[in-house]
Amino acid sequence: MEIDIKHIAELAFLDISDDEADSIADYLCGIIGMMSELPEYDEGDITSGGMELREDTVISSELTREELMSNAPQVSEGCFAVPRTVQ
Amino acid sequence: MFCGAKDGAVMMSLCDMSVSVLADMLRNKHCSARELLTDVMDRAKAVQTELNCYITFNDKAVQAADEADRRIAAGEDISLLTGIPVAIKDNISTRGLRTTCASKMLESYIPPYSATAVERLESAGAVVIGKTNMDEFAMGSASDTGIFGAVRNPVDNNYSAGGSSGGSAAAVAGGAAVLALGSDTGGSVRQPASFCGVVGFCPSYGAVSRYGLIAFASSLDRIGSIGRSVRDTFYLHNTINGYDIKDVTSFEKKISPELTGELKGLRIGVCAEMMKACTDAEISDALEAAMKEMEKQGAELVDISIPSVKDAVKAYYIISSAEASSNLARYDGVRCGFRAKDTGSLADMYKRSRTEGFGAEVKRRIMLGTFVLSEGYFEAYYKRALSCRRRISYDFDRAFELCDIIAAPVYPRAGTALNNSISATDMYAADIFTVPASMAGLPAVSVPCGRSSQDFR
Repeated sequence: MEIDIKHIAELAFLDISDDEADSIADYLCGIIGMMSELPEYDEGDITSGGMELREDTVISSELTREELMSNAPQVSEGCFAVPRTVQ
Repeated sequence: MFCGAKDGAVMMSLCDMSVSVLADMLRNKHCSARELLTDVMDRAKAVQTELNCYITFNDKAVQAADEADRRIAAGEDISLLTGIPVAIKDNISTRGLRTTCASKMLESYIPPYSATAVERLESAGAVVIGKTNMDEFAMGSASDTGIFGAVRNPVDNNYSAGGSSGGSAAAVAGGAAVLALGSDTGGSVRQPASFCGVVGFCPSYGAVSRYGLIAFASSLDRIGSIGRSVRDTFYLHNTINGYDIKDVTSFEKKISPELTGELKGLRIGVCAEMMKACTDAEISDALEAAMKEMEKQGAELVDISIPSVKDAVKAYYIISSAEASSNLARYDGVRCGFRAKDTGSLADMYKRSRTEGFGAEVKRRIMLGTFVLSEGYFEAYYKRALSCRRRISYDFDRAFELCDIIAAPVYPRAGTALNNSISATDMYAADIFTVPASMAGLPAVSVPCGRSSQDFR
């Protein structure tokens, strides 16, 4: 199977060097070869649904804005700061 | 500190004692929580170079121990875990205490809140001793993919402690903690517990809140308990088990507060597919001896078949990698975590932060997950894996009409040497015994039942 490593890396927001691309291609081919043996199951007699989840509930947080942002690499005037996007 | 050192008696350190013995000693003032913490911390620091169990020690542990002593002295209604030192895997959030996931991405992350499981332990008076080493973002089977180096097995330092909760299992086995929390996505509590000769319990999905557990694969992740005996592990799980509104998948059912050890009438399923997959004679002999012992105690052995277990590993790595690629998309250098220096555009910053912040195994899983979710492959891999997962649950339901529990090995080998060059496919395939219960959301426990020729249990 041909896998376009550079394309997958773009989708995953990762830079993969040419050297790494070869080893990741080997890895993916091995694992995907194993996964390709997964049969298609007939679910005709399976009636169970998914698990029950609670209703969405709004609960107030005791955390302050400062605490929530305390691990951000860069904060400016109470907002997350990122590199300039408009020149 | 040693106890029981009268003439001819075996000397035993506090750090090696069981929870129930320690709880009695604390209540009867035969030792203080501060003394117990000191003994466990001394052991933890003494074996740190050898085992590499811990990433961070809790410098507020002494305050917690003193508070436990105050509660005991005041005669308050205290729990069995009051004053007991507990280690926490480093992907479980601890307010104000660094939580790294053994990753450069979160090397400096200080959570502003604690996981619900940690809050429950602290409310019970347990003393958090520190954060334990692990595979990066819990992805691995040997606790060797993180940035802090491999965790070594207390039985033989040339062997792995297992993974991904290797630090928690090795700490408990080595007396560097009395109890420990781990996380189990596909066997990450049960397998290291097995390698280190301790008990590892992975609860039913939803029984312990995942709030504050840093996500790997949300539909599979669970917080599990590790102890040196079934009873100690039961006490720990019983403390953290309970409903939590902060976890959308939490359920209300509490486990029984009773632990009787009664086996009479218990139907033990012997799964043909799992027994066939166990090719190590030492492991199958030990398992069969344990089953015979349980039969002697009144249990009944029942032959069962779960055909879909042979496909569980394939489906597991599709689902877990897909969920990992989605969960780890949040690490982009903006809200928390590592940000690369001297980047150009915003897109460049995202990409370089992720490329430099994640290690090799995490990047491989992200790539795999991105592939199985990508256009043209979603139906062939991800949807097929979900179908397999439903079939596994269905097959277990049918099996549990015939039996109450299923006995099986934890891992195909009793131990794995560090730095061995096993291929990824062989490493993943070895999860055959732990992954089926993960896929079905079932509880599972790893209990030592023998010793290998290399002394692994």
